[in-house]
Amino acid sequence: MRHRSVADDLSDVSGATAWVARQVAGADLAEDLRYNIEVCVEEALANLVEHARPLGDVKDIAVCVDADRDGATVVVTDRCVPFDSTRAPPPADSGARPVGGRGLRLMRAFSSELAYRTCDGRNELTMRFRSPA
Amino acid sequence: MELVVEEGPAGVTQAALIGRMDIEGAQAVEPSFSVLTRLRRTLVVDLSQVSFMASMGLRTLMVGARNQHELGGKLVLACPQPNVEKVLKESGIGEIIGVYPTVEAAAAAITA
Repeated sequence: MRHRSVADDLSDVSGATAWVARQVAGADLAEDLRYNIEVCVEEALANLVEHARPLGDVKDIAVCVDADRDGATVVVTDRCVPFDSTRAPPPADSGARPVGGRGLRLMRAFSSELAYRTCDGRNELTMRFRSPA
Repeated sequence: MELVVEEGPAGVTQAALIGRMDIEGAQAVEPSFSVLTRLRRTLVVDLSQVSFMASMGLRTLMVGARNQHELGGKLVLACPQPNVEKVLKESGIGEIIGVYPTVEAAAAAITA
């Protein structure tokens, strides 16, 4: 798995997302799947930068990726107050939806599997993207 | 990210967004898009040249739509590429802001 640290700044989220895109480029995945990966990575990292609070001095955000022709696995890690986006309720479905809050819906819709865990003060969000059979 | 504006028939403003509406793109276009949505009451946003859209881009569109609503106007979207259309649909934005397959259909809907 390849690894990249991500600065606690929205300006580095695009760079990190592009880095993930380069890592999966060699796996010959379908364009749709690569698009889904970029959407989810951007959402996950932007959420951490914009909304997460560090447990200590720094958020220590990082992204790891592994890809082959069967799909890709992306793991986003951090040292923030845990927030399990796999369990957070989706935005209320009403006519007066908030402007934000749609990123979680996209992550759930665009990934094959989401898993979250916390261990020794480090959170891990694992996103799996499977190529169609 | 670019924003190209032209005045269409029947007083409908057509704004083409060009590029990636990722965080960087959304931040780059937001100032001019925000001004546009506060000055024009009927706006068709042409997405045919938007190659990527995620929640930051959606946020820019939603704020623009809200600005329009406050003016008593309307903002609609046109010609999203397939992956962008998927984002609009899965996020639920398409249920709040009209999405049309062509600029002409969008303009017709907004002036109906």
